[in-house]
Formats: sequence, C-alpha cells, structure tokens
Amino acid sequence: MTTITAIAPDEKAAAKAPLNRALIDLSPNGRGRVVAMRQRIRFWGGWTLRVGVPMLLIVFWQLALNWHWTSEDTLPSPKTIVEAYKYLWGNGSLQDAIPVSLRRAGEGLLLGGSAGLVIGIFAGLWKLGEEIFDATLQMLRTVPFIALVPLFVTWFGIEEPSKLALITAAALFPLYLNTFHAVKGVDQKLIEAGKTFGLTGFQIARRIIFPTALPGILTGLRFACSFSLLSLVLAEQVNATAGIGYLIINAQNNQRPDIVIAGIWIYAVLGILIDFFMRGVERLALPWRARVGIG
Amino acid sequence: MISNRKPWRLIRRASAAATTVALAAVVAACGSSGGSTASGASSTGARATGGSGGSSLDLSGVTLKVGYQTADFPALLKASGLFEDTPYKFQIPVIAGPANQLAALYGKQIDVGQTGENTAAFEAANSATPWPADGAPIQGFAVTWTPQAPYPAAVYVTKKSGITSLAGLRGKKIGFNYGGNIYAEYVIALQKGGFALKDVQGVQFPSNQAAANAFLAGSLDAVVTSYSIVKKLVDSGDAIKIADNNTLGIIGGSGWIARTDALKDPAKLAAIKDFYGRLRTFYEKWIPTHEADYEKVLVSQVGQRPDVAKVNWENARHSTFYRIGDPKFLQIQQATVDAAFGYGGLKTNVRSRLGWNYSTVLDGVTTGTTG
Repeated sequence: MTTITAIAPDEKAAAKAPLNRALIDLSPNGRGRVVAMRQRIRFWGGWTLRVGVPMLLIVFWQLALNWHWTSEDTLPSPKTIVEAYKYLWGNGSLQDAIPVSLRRAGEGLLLGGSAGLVIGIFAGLWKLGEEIFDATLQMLRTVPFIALVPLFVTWFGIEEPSKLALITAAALFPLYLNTFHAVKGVDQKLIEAGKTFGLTGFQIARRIIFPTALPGILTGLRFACSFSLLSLVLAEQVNATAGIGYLIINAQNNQRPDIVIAGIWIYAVLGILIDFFMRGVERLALPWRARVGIG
Repeated sequence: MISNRKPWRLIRRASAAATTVALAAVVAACGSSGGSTASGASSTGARATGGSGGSSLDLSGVTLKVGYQTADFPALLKASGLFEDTPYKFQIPVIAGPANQLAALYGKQIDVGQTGENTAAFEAANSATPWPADGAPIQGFAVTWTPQAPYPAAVYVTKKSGITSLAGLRGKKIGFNYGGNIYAEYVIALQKGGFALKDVQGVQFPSNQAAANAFLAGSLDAVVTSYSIVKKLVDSGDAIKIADNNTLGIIGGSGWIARTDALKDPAKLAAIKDFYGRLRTFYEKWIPTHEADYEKVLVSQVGQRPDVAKVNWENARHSTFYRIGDPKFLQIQQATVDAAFGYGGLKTNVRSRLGWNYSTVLDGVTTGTTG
C-alpha cells in the first residue's frame, strides 16, 4: 500500500525558504556583501570585546583608587604597576626572569606532558595500563604541590632538577587525566564500525580513537601549559636568582605589592599567549571540528 | 563527528600539531641558559689563613653551602667585598621559608641554614623520633642579633582596638606565624599576659608577611611582626607597639644551624670559621660604616623602597653575634620551648644542651670569647 502525503502550499513555501535564502546569500551582487560585512563586524566585535573587557577592568581599577574605594597600600594602581615594570626593566630583572622561567616551564612541560600523554594513552587503551597507573595517579594528583617543595628539595636537591621535577609533576597530571578520559570516552559504536570494516587494533587506535580523542588531549595540553607556568612560583622558591616566581617571592619578602601584581600580570599575558597559540594548534589539528555556539 | 577525509591526513595533521607543540617547548627550553645558581665566590688560594678562624688546612677542595632565606644577604656580602679571597668556594643558595631550609639541611643539600635562634631547640622538641642523646643531627652554632635595634619585632595593636598592654589582649584576634622568633614572641606574650590559649583568638598565618597584611587590612586586633611591614600604620598613629623582644626577654636573633657532620669535618669547620669571622667583620664593621652602600643594594638589587631600606639599615647596623656559651642563652631557649609546649605548639619540651643541639664551637670566632 502506498501512502501519498500531500504537502500543503504553505509548507512547500517554508521548505523552499531556506534554499532560496542560501542562493541569494551566495550571489555576487546583493546580500553576499552584506554577509561578508556582518562577518567582518562579528570578527572585529569579538576582538573588541576580548580586548575591551580587560581594559574596562583596568579603568575600573584606577577609578576605584581615584574615588578612594581602596588605597594604594591595599591595591597599587595600574600606574604604579607600570612604574614597577620600569624598575624591573631598569635593573634587568625582567629580561632575566622571562627567558629563565620559560625555559624551566618549557622543559617541565616537555617532560611532564610527554609522560602524561603516553601514560594516558596506555591507560586508556589497555586495561592493564589503567590498572597500573590510574589509581596511583588519581591519588597523587590530589597532593598539594606546596607540600611537595621540601620533599623535592630532599630528594632532588636545590639545583635545577628539583625545579624541573616540580614543574614536570605539575604538567603531567592534567595531560594524563584528559588523555585518559578522552581515549576512554570514544564512542564504542565507532570502534564496532571500524571492526566491521576489518580494521585491526592498531588501525582502530590510529584511525578512530586518536582523532576522536584529540580534542580532549589538546584541552589537557592547554591545562598542562598553564600548570607548568603556575608551578614556577613554587619551584623558584628554592635557590633561584631569576624567574617570574622568584620576582614575586622576593617582592613579597620586601613588601612590594606593586611588583607582586606586575608578576601576576606577566602570568596573565603568558596565559593569553598560550591560549592564542593553542587555538592555532587546535585549528591545525582539528580542522573538522565545528564551532559550536548560539551567537 | 568523524571527518570523512582520509584517516592518514588526520594523523598527519595531528602529528604536525604535536610536532609544533614539541618544537615550541624545545625552543622555549633553549631560550635561555641562565638560572638558578646562587651567588658565590671562590678563590685560587689553597690555604685558609684569613678570617678570625684561620687554619692551616688545605681548603681548596672545600665548597661551603650557606643557605639564606632572602636575596638581600648574598647581594650585600658581594657588595662588601669581604668574601672575595676565601681559600674555599662558597655558595649562598636563597631558599625561602624555614621548612625548605631545614629540608635542604637534613637532605645534605646545604651545610649551614639560616632560621630563628630557637629552631634547633624546636626541632629537637618536635622530632618524630627523639634525637639520639649522643648526637643531634643538626646544631645551632651561631646567633646574630641586634640588641640596640630601634625597630625590633614587636606586638602591635590597632588604635581602635583600645588595647594598651598585654593584659588587653584577652579575647582579641592576634596574628602570628609559626616556628621562628615571631612564634616565640607570641607564646611569651601570652605567658606574660597570663593567658591560656582559649583566652585569646590566635590566628596562625603561613608567613610573617601574610599576618602583617591581615593586620594592615584591619582583620586583626593585634599582630606579632616586624616594624618595617606595618611601618605606615604605626607612623600614622593607627597602630601602637605594646611589647617587643627586649621587654619580653627574647633575643629575637637570626639562628645559624649546621649539620653535625659538617661541624665535625675539620676542613668544613675551618671554612665555616673563616666564613663567620668575615661575617662578624661584615656585621660589626662594614654595615655600620656603609649606610649608602647597604641601602643602595636593598633598593636597586632587592627591590625595597628607600624608607624600608633605611629602617632595615637602622636595625642592621646594630648586628652582632650572641655568645651561645652564655648561660642565659639556653635559659631563654628553654623558656620559649616550655611556653610553646604549654600552648600546644610543640610535641615535647625536651631540654636543649650545649654539645647536643647547640654548639659553642664558633663562639671564639663570632664573639671573641669562649666558654
């Protein structure tokens, strides 16, 4: 028996509407330009918001001081922070600190990130790996790093290895956790489909699991980058003569809140740069990933 | 969800991304070679004859590691020029916080550490297992203090709290940090005020700076801290001092601790004696006569504000060594330990002894008198 479903005239028009609009939008003379302009406005509007919101916060910060809502002792003004940068630049501390800290964070990220990635994949793919590593790493990740500093001094000494060990540990856990969960979270149906098409275990890992888990892995990498920078404050407590963490600790010891905040700003800028860099990496690695949003 | 592109392209893209990240990390890693070596000095001389603790031992193979908690110390020693011709190598790693200093000392990463004068007594009393009677792992061997300092560490109270004496602390919020001289001052202040622990609201902070910040923010009625940190509030009359080291009968000195095995090693001991002989000259002769140099280092290299650097010089120019062999020394340490134990700050009130957790081996060098 055949069922014929007649489409009401209104419904027909409604079904056609999107098609017509798409055709009009793509035409060279007409709304194509409007769309392009909208996209440009959206792009620059986005950047304006990204830059404008922090700028507004800084203006509000300065106004709060001007209106005596707070005092310079409690919260040094942005102008004082800029003076602190001039001081740090003048005595060479800033030029010394940034490369030293980036080197330490980079080395720790490389070691800890690599270890986290490998262990995460191993534990995610094989039950044995999960049984060996997961419980132990889940326990260790809750250990507060500040409590580890004296222990690391005893175990690794007061030279670079103890700093590197601390940053490595800080970078390892976020990448491990995200990789492990991303690999474990791959849709079983995809794997079954792969098997149906005759893919072997390694091929499934390479062609299905790894690409599907990549967004999670990159999120882990993003966290690992941030954590390796944040751990500098702890790592550079011990036998450091340069570094962003050292600058902050030394400023704390010498009652210089302006330099402390200047150091925090450096972290903020590095955070933005990491975010910018990681967006580029994600675009390169995940070209198929759709932008999800409602506006 | 999965792209319909060929899988090898995905792998290639992923590999490219991974390589980019790895390369970036390597570039960052290669970005600098500078780093973490502490300030130091060395000499080509082979024998120790300099300093008050001169020795005829060959010290050319000795490297002395003297830990300090703040960056001003190595910078000032360098500026003094008194340590340029040591017949041994030395390093001054800056290690923030007493816990890290002690970890480095117990872990044999440094030979000498800098903490409070009472640390050797507190460590013995707080040890997880009692120290052997015939040999403590660490010994306090020198104490630097500032007997005539115009701005000693003190108990400060806010004017609005209405407190004018120790007795007025009852029921009030008092900030302190645990372990060193500040804690000693806190427990002795409670003892002299005749308080039980429940009579006051003690608020423990992780550092002297954190306690002072809370006081400056108006969150505390009283704080035990250094003048330089609360200077503005005190100078404006919004905070007043009700007791200090002198009135509480505390030395309030900086304690130097060494591993016992370092003090027993003749070459290392000779190097320590030489170093502390020079340090005595630094404290007693160089600092009082070099105000401008001292403050310049603190301002330009360490980052202190000129007014804070001035206060620190005013205190530091009175620096000298306290004789550990002085009978009063152990009495004061024991009184602090007993008070801390009474207020629950220590596990035991084990008695400190010369030759056990304190040593007089450097008294001759640091004070010119022994016994």
